[in-house]
Amino acid sequence: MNGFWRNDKMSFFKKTLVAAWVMVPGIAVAGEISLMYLPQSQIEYEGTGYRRFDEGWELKVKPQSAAAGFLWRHPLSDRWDLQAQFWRNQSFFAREDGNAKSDLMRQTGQTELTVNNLILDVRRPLAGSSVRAVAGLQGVYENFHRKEILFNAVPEAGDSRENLSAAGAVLGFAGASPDSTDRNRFYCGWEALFGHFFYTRTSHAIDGGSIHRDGYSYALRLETGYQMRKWRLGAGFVRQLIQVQVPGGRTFPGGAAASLPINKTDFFGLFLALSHVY
Amino acid sequence: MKPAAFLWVILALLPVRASADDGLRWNLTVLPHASLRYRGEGKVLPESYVNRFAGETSPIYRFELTQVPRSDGYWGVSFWHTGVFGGGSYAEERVPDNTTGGAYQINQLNVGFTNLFVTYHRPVAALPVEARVHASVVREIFKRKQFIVQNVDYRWTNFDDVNEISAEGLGFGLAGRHGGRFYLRWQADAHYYIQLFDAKTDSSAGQIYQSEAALGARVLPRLSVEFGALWQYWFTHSQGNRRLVIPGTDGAVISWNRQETRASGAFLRLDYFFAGRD
Repeated sequence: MNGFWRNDKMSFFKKTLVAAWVMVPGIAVAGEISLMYLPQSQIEYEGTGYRRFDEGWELKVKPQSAAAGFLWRHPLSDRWDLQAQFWRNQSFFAREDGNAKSDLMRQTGQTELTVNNLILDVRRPLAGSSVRAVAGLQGVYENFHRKEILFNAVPEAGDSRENLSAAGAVLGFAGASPDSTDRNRFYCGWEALFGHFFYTRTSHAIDGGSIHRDGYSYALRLETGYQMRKWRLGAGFVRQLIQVQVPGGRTFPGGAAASLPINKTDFFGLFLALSHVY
Repeated sequence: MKPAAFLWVILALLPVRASADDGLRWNLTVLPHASLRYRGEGKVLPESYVNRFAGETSPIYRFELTQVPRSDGYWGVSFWHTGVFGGGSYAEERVPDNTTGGAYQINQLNVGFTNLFVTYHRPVAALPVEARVHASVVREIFKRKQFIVQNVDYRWTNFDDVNEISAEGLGFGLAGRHGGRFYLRWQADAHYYIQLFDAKTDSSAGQIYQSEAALGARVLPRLSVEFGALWQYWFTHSQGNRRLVIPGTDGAVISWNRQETRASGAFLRLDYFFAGRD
């Protein structure tokens, strides 16, 4: 699957459509299937914390790129719903900057960051309300590919590929307008989840440091649109924060950071949504 | 103040407030020997990035006042405290020296907090579970004394310091109670924080995640007693790298940019209804 996303001969938009085409028939009994496309999402990564080398404290990279989300909600009973959602950005190399004592005492480079976020939950209405309480599980997988590093004006040899993974639980709420009618075909929905990661891991672990376990997240989504029979066309906003704490701090031979312990990733942007409702 | 004295002060005040309003419920939770583990990381170069804290044992108190549970929702407020005032102990904090090896600083530290949560409770439809939305103001308090910095022993001066971090947040949670006279109660809450009054720190200020479970018995028609365990994780940001002047040294480190605090322990809880139970 990773090879499919890394195929440079196909645009990210086409890949998203192909992925949806492959996945939708397999879950055709779903209550709702939505495909979200973000033409220009923002990723803001900030890594901080302990390092083996006695300089540097943080790294930042803020690429803008397309992204996609896939959501499947299936009614398990009159009151229980099961929902799965997956989000991923289009990855490419963007400039990464470290903090600096001066222009010559800093780390710069090119970093390709891929964020994969999967949330699987169950939801049930509150008594006398259309708002639903949500409880579920979350899994995150982030890839960092760092290259062309310049550290204190000296080029570092080689590149670095770090994989971060985290798993935890989410709690939250979700709501939606009543089903559309012939008179009112507009709909809106929202979702707010807070999560905690109980398991975190990095491929670039080292000894030392202090804060290197657990993590947390939030995921917000607002959506509105127009429904025609079984199809919805909508637009919305998504914002997700992922904080993963690991025993990072590994350095390149010359001292540049190859991983950091406290990794915060913000992902947000406006999306277009196409949904099929059962 | 001894923990027992603090407890009796709270207990003595309860009937005064609560008996005036026959529609309230209070509960008092005490963790007499909670374990507090603290970790800090920050920009305190060149000496260090991190601290090492031996961990302390302190009582944690939580007093909660709510309306009598209603199917259409009800409000409550809870107040948490731990620290020296409540009988907390000190333990050793060390700051490793990256430049010369050994310890840059050794001191005694007590980590405490005073947190206020305002909570809206609403039952989940047809389940013995309620969803919770919290608004909270939290304050973490660090008391340090008996400093030895760069081998300068400053303990003879009785010099000490209090450093505080506060944050404001929203939280989501779930809680359940299963059984009759003898019952199992559980709750899990995730809070996300910002810092409204600290313009120099990132607006993203961390998370508190809490979970607890208890076995309880209704020993009187309106009084229940529970025994259980609680675990709280707290990650918060602050400006960090504040130092105190100690002559002949580079200064005593009293704050960090990132802090992680874990509190856990067994608790005893009294739960009293001033009105009839549902």
